[in-house]
Amino acid sequence: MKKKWSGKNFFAKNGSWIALLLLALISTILNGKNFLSVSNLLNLVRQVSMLGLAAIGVNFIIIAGCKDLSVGGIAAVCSMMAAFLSPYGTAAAVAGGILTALLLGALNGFLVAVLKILPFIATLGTMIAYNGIALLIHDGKSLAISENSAGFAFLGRGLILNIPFPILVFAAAAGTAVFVAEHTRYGRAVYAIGGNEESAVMMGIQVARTKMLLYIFSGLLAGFGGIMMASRLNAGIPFTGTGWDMYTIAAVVMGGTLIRGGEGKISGAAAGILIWGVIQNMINMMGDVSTYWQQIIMGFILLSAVIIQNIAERRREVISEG
Amino acid sequence: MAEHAVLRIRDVSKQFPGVKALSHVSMEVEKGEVRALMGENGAGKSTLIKILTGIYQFEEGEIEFDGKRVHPKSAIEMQRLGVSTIYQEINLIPYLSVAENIYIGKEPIKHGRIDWEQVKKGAEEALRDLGISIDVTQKINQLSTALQQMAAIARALQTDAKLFIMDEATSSLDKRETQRLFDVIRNLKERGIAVIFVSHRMDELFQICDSVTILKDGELAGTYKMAEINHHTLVSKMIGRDAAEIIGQRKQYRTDWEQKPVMCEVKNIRKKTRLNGVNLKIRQGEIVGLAGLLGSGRTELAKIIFGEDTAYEGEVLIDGEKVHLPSVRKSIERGIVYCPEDRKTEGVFLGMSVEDNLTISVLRSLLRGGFVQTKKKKAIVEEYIQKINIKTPSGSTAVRSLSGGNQQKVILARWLAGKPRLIILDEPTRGIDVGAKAEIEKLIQQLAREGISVLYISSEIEELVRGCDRIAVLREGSVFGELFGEEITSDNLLHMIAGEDTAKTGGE
Repeated sequence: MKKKWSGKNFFAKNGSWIALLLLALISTILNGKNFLSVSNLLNLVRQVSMLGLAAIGVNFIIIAGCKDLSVGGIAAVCSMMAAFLSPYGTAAAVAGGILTALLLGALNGFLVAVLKILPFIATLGTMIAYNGIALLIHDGKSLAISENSAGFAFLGRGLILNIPFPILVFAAAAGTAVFVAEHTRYGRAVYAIGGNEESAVMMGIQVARTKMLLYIFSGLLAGFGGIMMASRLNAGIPFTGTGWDMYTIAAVVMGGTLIRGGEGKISGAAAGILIWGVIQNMINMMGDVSTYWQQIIMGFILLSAVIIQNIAERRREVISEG
Repeated sequence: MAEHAVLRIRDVSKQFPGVKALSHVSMEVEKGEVRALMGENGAGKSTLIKILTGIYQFEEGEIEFDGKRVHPKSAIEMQRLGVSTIYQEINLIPYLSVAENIYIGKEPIKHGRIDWEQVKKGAEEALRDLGISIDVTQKINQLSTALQQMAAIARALQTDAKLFIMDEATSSLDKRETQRLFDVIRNLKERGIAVIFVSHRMDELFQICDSVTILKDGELAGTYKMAEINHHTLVSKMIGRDAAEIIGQRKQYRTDWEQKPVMCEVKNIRKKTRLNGVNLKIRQGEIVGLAGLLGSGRTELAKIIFGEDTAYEGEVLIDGEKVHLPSVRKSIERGIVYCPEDRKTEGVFLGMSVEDNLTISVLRSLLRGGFVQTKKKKAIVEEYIQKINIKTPSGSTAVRSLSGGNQQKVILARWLAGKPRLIILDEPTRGIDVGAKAEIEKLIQQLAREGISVLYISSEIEELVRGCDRIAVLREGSVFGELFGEEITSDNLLHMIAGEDTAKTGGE
């Protein structure tokens, strides 16, 4: 039953986690206890939890062979909506934000699954439009959370057993996602669609419905990320989620999900997100290094990940040919 | 009307833009009946199957399945009603395991999650019923085509269907595997399950089917009991008499090429593990057949002559001159062209129009001042559509919507437009119906008469025997022998391909 353990296979499958460990090791050497302290590690993970939430949705979408560029836009609109509704109480702010996320995700799903617009184009369009909506809500300015929503602060800053709430949300979402991807019909259908959509149709998989739900989930995750950001910063900010469109894809690809779909792991994307967090953290700690290095380093790590994937893929092809 | 009919089709029609794909077709299939469905590509066979599986919707007529009127709108709807289909193009998900491919969409659930133990066990059992025992946890794309086909069959059999549709399900199976499938079909029959069976292999139909429904040009050409009809009548019903005669004809041996110069010669070609020392000459205007089992090195040799594969030892000589630094571009300049085996991935641009596909390799000659001369382009397209009888609504139709035979003709036309001197054809008639086959074979003869050399790779013995001036047989990477003129007979060729030491016959 159990496959034989092979070193090569182990490294190929867990490359992103190994990279994460290596980076953590480097950071430990450079920063010592400052890096390894519980508070720093929690801080590090908390910082990337919102982005990580969005990346989980994007990961599913990419496994299905689709794209979602609009996650940043959705986060921005939801952050603003939550702030906009905060005068009516915490419940209104949260519910309003979630409902908005649901609608925006459903619109993406409608465009892709029903109107059959290429996902890249469809979500490029909505990304631009959503960013516009976020700016429109308060004329491009931030909007403070009203004092009527005292409980709202918990979402971004609350602790349960000393663990920040966003981390718990991220972990719960990641755990659920792994289960859905690997042990449910819905999850396997997502892989099937990404592997060969035409076959999936012929096999009787409900492709349109599956895709519709994918975009709704993605919207909800990104939107909730945006709401937690608003809570964290105590304000709705129209620039929330800037760069998420690309950073999520980068994390997903670094996690070993193939951009053409059909193959990938949710846990890989989590590793991709944490790599992002470690680099951010390292640069913050080094003080005198410009934070712009973060992007440059991430870019190169992404490229190396893709190059390694390509080499592995080619080798596999050769093996299956011979 | 019989009480025990599982499927009744009455007056069903289906229109596509510009083409009437099906026109007033009726048929009935009884429980426990194995019905052959025959017709050329473009006769409406695939359209009818896609209607029955819920992928296409019909406009006129009615379908009754298991006593109920149905008007399916999706594949899943028909599957739920009890129609299970094995498609010609193997429809599997490449990156998932064999077991998952057999179960996807209908995985057994236990305690809210997929019961992987059951998936694995069920898949193993389903394959064992087909006589196959493999590791079902490996990815499906690591299996051979035949095994993939068997997995697809296992998947279809995994349902409690009342009607199975097998669309060219045997096309990649060998004799033994086909017999296994036939055992399964006989078993279904006993249980009162009906089968609609589509195959280009005539012998199979006579072996397993009770009756046959023939379509021609989208219309019903008749339904017959298998016992009441013979081979020849069947073919002529399907394609009309003229084409039937061409297929039956043996070609006249020409000798005019014997005095012509050698156009292409390969000397002692070696490629690790695949080719070990191949020698072959092709004269101007000669049709040289290249026979051999799958894996004997046929395609490898073709790719070397075409300059696509440059990693070999030995020499390729064109017009007596050795080719240095071979490349595809140079080969095309010298007039060597290659029609690949797998036309969908290597041959045509499915999404592009007939026009663009046809002229893509001669665009340079159509340029004036850097722009394509549309008029000239259209003229060329018209010329070849006429000349080799490509059946297409217009030049701007996407190649995807043509039948396999016509796609193949588009590829041929593309190369012919470049005025080649040597054409390498790799399985040019695979997956093509009898009528188009006859036309393509005729065209090849005509090309040879015009002085074009042809290297003809095929697994179909009869086709080679009919068409070639000389046949070289490859075995294990070298030329095992050659047949000339009167020596070219099916028996001789079979013996040579198989060799004395093995009992294997047939192409694949």
